[in-house]
Amino acid sequence: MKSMMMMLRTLLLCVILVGTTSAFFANTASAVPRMSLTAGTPCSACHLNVTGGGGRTELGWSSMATTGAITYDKMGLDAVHNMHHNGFGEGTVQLGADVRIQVAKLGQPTVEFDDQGQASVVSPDRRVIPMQVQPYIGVYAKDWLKLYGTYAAGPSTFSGNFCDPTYPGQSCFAASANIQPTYTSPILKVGHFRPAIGIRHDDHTMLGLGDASQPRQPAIAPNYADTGAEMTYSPTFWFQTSVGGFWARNLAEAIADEAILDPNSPAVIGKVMFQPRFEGEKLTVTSWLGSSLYWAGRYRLENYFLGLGLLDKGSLMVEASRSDRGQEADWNTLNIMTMLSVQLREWLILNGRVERATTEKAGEEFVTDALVIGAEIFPVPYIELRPEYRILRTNNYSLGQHTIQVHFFF
Amino acid sequence: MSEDKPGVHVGPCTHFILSRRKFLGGTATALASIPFASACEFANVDESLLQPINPTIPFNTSMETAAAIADVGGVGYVEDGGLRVLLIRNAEDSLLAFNSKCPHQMLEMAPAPGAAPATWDQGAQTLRCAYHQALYGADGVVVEQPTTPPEVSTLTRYEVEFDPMTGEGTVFVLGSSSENSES
Repeated sequence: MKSMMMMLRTLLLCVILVGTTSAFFANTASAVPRMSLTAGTPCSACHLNVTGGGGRTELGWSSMATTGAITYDKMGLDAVHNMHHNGFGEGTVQLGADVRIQVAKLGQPTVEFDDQGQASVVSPDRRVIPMQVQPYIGVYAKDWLKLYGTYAAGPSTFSGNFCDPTYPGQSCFAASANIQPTYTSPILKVGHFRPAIGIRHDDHTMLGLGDASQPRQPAIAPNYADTGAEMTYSPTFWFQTSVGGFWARNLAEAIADEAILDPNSPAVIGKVMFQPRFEGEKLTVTSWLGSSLYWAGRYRLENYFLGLGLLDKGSLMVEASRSDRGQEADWNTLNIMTMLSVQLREWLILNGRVERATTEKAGEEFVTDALVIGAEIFPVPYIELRPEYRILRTNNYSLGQHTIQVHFFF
Repeated sequence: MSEDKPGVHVGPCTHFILSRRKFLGGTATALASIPFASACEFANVDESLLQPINPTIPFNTSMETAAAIADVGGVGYVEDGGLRVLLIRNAEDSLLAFNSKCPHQMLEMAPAPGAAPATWDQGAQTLRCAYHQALYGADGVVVEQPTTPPEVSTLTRYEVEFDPMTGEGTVFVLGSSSENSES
């Protein structure tokens, strides 16, 4: 029985990793902040990263192992259903992976001219886009030491280019050692990883960290990571703070202007987050409220976030992100997002969000608005479907389209 | 385990069958919504881009947007109606003219306000899009694919006449372009 379960686990991993034969990847991070609010747990309860995203802890994994319109026991696959954890070696090693494929119109409407010079609008083609193939590993080396690593495949990974990030500033891997002497001690994280900037979302089309003047070249790329150290302390369940320092090499690559940020510059991060929870007889309200500041050279990024959740029912998130590159650069961004999620079933969540990204750059103003209405559907555990209808409006064009994302996870 | 009910055979698949009905119902609803969602799809561009264009676009190096092509290796652009043409002075007596939109994701390659201009390598005679690093040769054919999908083949290239002595020229934008397959 044990060997069969091992085989099934291996099979599931193979199914997930079979997508790696695909040729192109856009590489995304992975975190669903909505889950923290509706589950009433901090990100670190379900993710190996203390600030959320990426590989799942045993609790995170097991909570999703039975989340599906049809669970595996009802299909006669009891052995899969009864897998209790994602750990190997008595839980010392935890494995995971995310694979995402998106079907969407990529790009923007174009103008074509006929032989008489008359213009017509052409909508971009709908395409199947492999977005993410990313395995994770967590190793509980000691009671006080947890190692974590992840690798994100790139467009030409399977042509021999092992590290092939898609966006400037993106990292093809993250690796860290997490040191926590006792359960109540601060956690020291050392390595190559994403600083604790704002709230981490799994949708890299969100405008929060983007730039309306150059939509596909955000300063903080999906899977952005730099080398450094970060201390996170949570003295009580309702408060968490992080401080850290990094070598801002990848950030400098994304900024691409040494006058604003030299590749050898240090970066500092500071974040505070209050997470009060109000428990009534019939209703439990979860929340978070906080801000972060990421500062390197002349580049400064401020994030503010507010989240309200009703346990197992839904959540409301409001976030704002502001950046500037110093007075000389005349390049500022202000991005605002509001997102509402309603959990109809454990496996069916409806959500909608409105976003506005504004960039003032060299005397010009660029504005991008987005309206997204969609659902998270878990037909069976480990598989998520995300149908969405999206409207995007920029200074130059507007595009309304339906998209769907298929997400395999383990 | 479920209890037996009159007329209902309870077996190992009963839960699956009942759940499957719900699931299939949901799936049918989702599928039925596709035509509705498709009907709601739209694509619009700024009205200024829909202005009719003339068969030719004259230019000269005294124009602000084309001043850079006074020098070999310089990159500029010229506009007419909704069309913007990238001009590259690739030799003393030669000029290249391309549609300024990279066919990868139709992002702007001209050194225009708000754009990240593409980089022309005079030695290699190649043009690299700043957004996803697609690299094109002087004939417009892609040399290196962009870092993200989709793949591209060629830039739309236009015939151009240019007099290096006067700095004046003409781009022939209708009926003379080599259309790329991705746009």
